Amino acid sequence: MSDERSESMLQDYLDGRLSEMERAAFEARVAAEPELARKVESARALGRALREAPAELPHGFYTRARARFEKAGASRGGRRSFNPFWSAAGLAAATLILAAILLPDWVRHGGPLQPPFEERGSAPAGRKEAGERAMPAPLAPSPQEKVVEGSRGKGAARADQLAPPRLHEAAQAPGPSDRSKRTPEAMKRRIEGSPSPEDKSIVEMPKPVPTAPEAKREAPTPEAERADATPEARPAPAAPEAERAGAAHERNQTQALATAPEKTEKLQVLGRNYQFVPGLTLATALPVGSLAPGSVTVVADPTDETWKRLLGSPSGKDLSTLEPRFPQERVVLVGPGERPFSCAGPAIDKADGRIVITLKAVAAEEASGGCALVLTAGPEPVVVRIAPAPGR
Amino acid sequence: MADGREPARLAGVHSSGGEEEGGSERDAAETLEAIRRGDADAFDRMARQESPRLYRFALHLTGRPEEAEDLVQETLVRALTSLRRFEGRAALSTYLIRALGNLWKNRLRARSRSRFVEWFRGNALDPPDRAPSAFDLLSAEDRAEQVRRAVARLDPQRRITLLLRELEGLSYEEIATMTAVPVGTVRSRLARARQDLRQWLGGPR
Repeated sequence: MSDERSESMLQDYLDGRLSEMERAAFEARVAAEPELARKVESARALGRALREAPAELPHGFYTRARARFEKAGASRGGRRSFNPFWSAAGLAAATLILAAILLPDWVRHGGPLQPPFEERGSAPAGRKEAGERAMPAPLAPSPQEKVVEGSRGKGAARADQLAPPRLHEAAQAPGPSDRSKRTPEAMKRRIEGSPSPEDKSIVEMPKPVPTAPEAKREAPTPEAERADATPEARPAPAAPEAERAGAAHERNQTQALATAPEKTEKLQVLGRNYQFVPGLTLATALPVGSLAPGSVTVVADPTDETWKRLLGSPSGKDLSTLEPRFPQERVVLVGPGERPFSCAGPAIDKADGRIVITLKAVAAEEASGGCALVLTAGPEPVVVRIAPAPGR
Repeated sequence: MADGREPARLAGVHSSGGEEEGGSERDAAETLEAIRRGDADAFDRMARQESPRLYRFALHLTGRPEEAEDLVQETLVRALTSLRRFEGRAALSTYLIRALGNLWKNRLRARSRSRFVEWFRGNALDPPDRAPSAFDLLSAEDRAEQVRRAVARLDPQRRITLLLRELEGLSYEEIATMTAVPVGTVRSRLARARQDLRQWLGGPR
């Protein structure tokens, strides 16, 4: 019997999915094959260990849960106290607003939801056709927005990963400004085809800062990364003639951040493999190509020896689950630190042209031995900080 | 949802009923109604009934006590207050586990823009499966801890599938419904999860 078939039978046996006859046959095999018997026992022991594992609720759990419920209830308060009067008033107000938007058009164009002026002379627009023209407008992006969105394309999620949400709101205006476009005035403007102030702000986004050519961005050398890790050593990059819109978008974000007050202090190199940020516990950013304690290794290439070695290790399966898409992505390997840290819930930020990964400091017994993180490939050096977890 | 129905309206996956349970079911329905009205005492009562089981599940799912606590509390607050119809205690249990799983998956998704993995524990470079395993010789407590850590290393999809099977005792079909994948996928995820754990815990390959 093949391994796969045997494994499949084992699963079905453990989960009680074999028929009487199959079960009897399998048990006969278990009795005859010590290796199979060990597998069965091992799987059962695993199940037992899972079920019997102590899972005591932390002290104060119910108090905290109750407080959370009360807090959530307070924020939902308005919704809970349903009042028909206010409901009716809300409906009336909504009707008035809608009328305010539509009525001028109605009066001017002689009917509801007329097509744009240039088409008014043609055959009368049906309700559906007119609706199709008028309604998507508030949600459709302006040409400028389309450039930004288009540049995000397939890599949008990856671009998102590196920028703090607040920054995205400012650069792409998907949130609050989108809502503002649905105000009566904005809707009217859309129907009439005039640009909105929001559109203008997108046109006038800061000009991109010139950077190194694309090729360099795709595969930064370790030396370049090391140099970039130290702000004072960072040279002003050269300007390419043509930039991809996606890269421009990302640079805009970087520039916006650069204008923010500096949050990190100057890096000081204190040791060959270490860079420390005063005030924080640790920062390392050297592509040392090894997993020395305290090291951070950036792998941008599947042929990298470190990567091959790790994938070839008995625990390689873990890393392969990351499924990095080289060369669009790179893997940041964080070696075991002198100060214990946890891989759970890392904060990833972009500041001063660097990717800053903040790992939580934890007690030694809770510490992770190492972490691997997949990031979008780029020229930015990576800095890993270990910072105390914020208090509850 | 594989069946396109609201989780809150899903009929009990497990069989439930009996006259004796009738009163308890009515109590639960009333408690839920009170929770919807914002009654903190009712919430507290329900939390005390459901939390231990949810916490055990969440602890294995996340591998971290703080994260498990947060997940359970968030699940209780969100799921109990939005439950529109009570269809039996068994259905409620399934509903809460499903809500917890969804919440956890959403969090993972939010984090997955950058994918992090912890590839070994402790301040050593030797992966655990290199060391000679004495899993069977460990005390129950140590074994549980080893298992907890190993489970936390599993691929998230395999992890939740294994926990639904081993902790919740759900059938393949129930897991398939809950996780919205075919039964065959459940089967293979379960097999791979067990193989991984066997390997990491030093059992037979």
